[in-house]
Amino acid sequence: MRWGRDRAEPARSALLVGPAVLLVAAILYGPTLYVGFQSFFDWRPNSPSPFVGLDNYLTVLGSDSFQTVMWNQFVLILGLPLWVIVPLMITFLLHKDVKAPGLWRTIYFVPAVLSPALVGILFRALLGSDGVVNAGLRKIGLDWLALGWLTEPHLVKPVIIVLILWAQVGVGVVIFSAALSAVPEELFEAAELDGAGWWTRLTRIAVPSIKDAIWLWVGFQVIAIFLFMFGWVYVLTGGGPGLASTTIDFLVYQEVFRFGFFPTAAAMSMLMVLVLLALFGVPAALVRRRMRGTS
Amino acid sequence: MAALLAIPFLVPFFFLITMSIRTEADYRADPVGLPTTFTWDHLTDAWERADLGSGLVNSLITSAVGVVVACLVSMAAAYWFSIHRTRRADRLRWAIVVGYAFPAVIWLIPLFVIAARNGLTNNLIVLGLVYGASNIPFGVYMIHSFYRQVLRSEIMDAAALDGAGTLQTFRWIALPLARPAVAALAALVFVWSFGDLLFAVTFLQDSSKWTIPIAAATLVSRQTITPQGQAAAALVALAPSLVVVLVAQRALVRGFGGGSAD
Amino acid sequence: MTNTIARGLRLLALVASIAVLAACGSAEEGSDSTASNGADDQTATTPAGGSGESVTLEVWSWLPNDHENGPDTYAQIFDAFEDANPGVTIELTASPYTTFWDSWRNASIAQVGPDVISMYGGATAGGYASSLVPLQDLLSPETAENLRFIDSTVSPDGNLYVAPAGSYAYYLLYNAEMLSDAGLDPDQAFATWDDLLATCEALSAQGTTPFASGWSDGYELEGYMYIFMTQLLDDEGFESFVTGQLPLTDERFAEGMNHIVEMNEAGCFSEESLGMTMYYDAFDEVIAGEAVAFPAGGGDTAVSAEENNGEGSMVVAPFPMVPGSPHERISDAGPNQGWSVTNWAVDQDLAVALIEHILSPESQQLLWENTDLPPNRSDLAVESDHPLFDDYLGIIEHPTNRTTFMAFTDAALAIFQREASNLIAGRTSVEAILEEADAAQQRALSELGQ
Repeated sequence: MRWGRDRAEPARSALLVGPAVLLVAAILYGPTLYVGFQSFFDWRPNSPSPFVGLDNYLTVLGSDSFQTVMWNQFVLILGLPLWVIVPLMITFLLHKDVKAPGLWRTIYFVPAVLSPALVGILFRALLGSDGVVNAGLRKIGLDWLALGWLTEPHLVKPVIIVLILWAQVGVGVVIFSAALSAVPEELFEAAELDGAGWWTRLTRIAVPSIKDAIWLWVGFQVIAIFLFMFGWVYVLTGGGPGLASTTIDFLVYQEVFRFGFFPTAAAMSMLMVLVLLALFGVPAALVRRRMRGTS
Repeated sequence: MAALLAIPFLVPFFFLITMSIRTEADYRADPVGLPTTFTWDHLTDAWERADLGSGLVNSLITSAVGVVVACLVSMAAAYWFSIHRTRRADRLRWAIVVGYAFPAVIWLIPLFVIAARNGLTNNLIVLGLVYGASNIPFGVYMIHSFYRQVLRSEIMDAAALDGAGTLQTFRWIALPLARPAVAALAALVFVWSFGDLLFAVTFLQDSSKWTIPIAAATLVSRQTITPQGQAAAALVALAPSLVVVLVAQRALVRGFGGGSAD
Repeated sequence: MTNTIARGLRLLALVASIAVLAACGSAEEGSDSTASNGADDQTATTPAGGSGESVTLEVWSWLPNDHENGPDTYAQIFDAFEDANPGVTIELTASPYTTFWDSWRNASIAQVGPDVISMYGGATAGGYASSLVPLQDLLSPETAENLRFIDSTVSPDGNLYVAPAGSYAYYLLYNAEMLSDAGLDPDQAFATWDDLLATCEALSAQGTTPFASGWSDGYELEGYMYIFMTQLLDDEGFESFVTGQLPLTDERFAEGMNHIVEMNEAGCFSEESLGMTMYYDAFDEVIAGEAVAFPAGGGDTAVSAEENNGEGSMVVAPFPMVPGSPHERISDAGPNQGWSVTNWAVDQDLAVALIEHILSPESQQLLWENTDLPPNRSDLAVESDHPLFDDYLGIIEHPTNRTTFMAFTDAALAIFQREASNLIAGRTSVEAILEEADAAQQRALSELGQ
């Protein structure tokens, strides 16, 4: 279905999509493809860089640190249900019968605007071995629960999952609220008249109506735990203890800026992209096939 | 209920405020207790030492540019995709969206090399452009899915009957309808650009061009300014972002067929 | 609704045009300062103090932020240089320490940016060999003869990329009052290695933290390694290490790291230290009098501790020697950092002249007086009013001192930082760490001088 007289003005309508294509190609694809190219060489900027084929990839895939970190990533993905359900519920809660929902949404959004440096200070004050949480636990006699939240390898990842929830819930609420505002109110009113409760209205009406926004959020969170964790990991645990809380973007950052090993950093980055494409490509293709069927 | 939920979000916020207005000795004595002293010193100290004033201006410029670029470009492209539903267009759209999976850590470096060799570093507009461009994949996806929800054929057919061309339909119908999504996108891009450290450090070496995150980082290496300074700098950095988000909320509630009153 | 949108768009356009105007201004500045240092201007050289042609030297450093008086002092030093060289302007960018290295790595890849930078010598500078100018033949004899610690600063490929500046030493800072309160003899408690271990056991049995420490940021492991390796390596071993020939799998490194484990087992480190950072939790601990001892690397720590704990409470002493050391007495001491010239510098001779100026006795004296930076010139002796700082200077000046810190590559150090808390918590072994660190070290060394 085409609207507007595109056939008479194809050039002008291309103006709409042109800038996006140009900018993404120049700023995202160009440099990334360059790095992808270099990943097959012993890449040393400003020095001879001989061709090494798949060596860098084999080195990375075989390295303990890469394997450990990829494992970390998949553990973090387990937090996905939490990160989706909580903002959904909060969004729906604010949908009606709450005065000044905009104010509440802004408050929930506060963690997202705090600098990682500050989040680090706050969380270490909270979760340090002498921090608020442990002090409180000891006061009510739950000494055995006063653990090394940031220093025990098997505890840091769950802590990070909660941290991500706290920091991102406001963003999710904003996105879901935008999507929900486009859903006609009559749908909900009719359902309520029919006796549908809060939970039913949420799951049977709201969620299906904002399906696309939910997928957006899922996609965003998955990408976030691969690509946007650096700031928080750096200040909270420095990736530690050891590699227990190191995310892949942190590892790549270290590889470039601490170790200066560009060839393997390039290979790691490309592998990261491949993993993400695989993670999205499959469900996305399935979704597209279904949508094409129903549209 | 909303108030109860707000506690985990407000408590750190108040902690932040109290941290920045207590004296150091007071903080050391009882880091998590209530403040017993009051001083503006940390705020003024941090403001001066890290030159937060100029940092604020620089951050505002780069974020504003980022928002304008991201929103306009994403809106336009998303609209184009919603009216061109061919397989090719589909693939193009996915190609754009997939760009989001490219790790910034790695494409920043070649981009920096090109910028540096062409005198484009230390340029707030260029940095803003990079902010905008890096958010286009997200923006296109978000607004496009919003259009899919919202653009109904009846409206579009009516416009076509009235003789409107593509660009006109975009301007007068699609743009206004996209308000909630664009407001959300604008708020997010602003917040992300405002708080970014990595891109800023890469493209800005001149201290007069530093954005707030870099300026705040200077407070860490000085032994004379401790967490209080960080907290003070964070408060300064916080304010514009919160204002933007609050303003953007207005567009989020109004929309199709009512929605709850603000 | 459309009116609001129209207004909104107009507002955005206004903001955008203001931004564009602002950026046009900054773009000019930006491209100017980059162009003047960029690849176009490769022809040397306006002699210093010369023809009145205007030259701008861009200087990057983290040093001015290290001290309250840093910015003013460096401004004074650079002003003096500008006065002596009409037509020359110095543009200093004082970055935070962490972002400095990010910016520098970017600049060295693009081969565009500063003309003069602060840098660590040895393996670190060697890693940037393709961006730095060897200085051994460019420094004036007067400077070269009077700079201490040049041997420790030479890179594995034999070049001196960094002119060393300032000096430091690792020493043992301890709280004599706390020792007395615990019933221990302050003069004996840390006299020998065995005394140290016994003191740790005694203190921890009483619930007092013997050594201030923090393992989560990993730097403390490095510090101890420098101290122990300088003690353990004889001249041959040191030479071999500095020239990049000694692998970290050599048994002496294991011996050094095992001493840290030994300290841990003697109870020297508190349990909380696993979750603390060296910067600045451990520092705060010893200054606040909550722990007895600390392997400090700067005299200011001693001064702060004494200010807080009372006059005469603190002692500055050389770190006790570990058994198995071939030396009678030695401390890990060396230059604080140094200065380098980039190989795209707009005027190389001028840049070298600037470095010599920063290293001159006058400038070093200024830095000493205003920022407490001990100089590393053998023709400049300084004294301190503060007795503890004077003791510190005495430790630095011990003639056989040298440092191993610059022989470790950043890559190896990154492994140490990562695994420090695992070692102390018993989750990994000395051998495992050294094996991984050596792999990183060898890989980094193989890329040097290319």
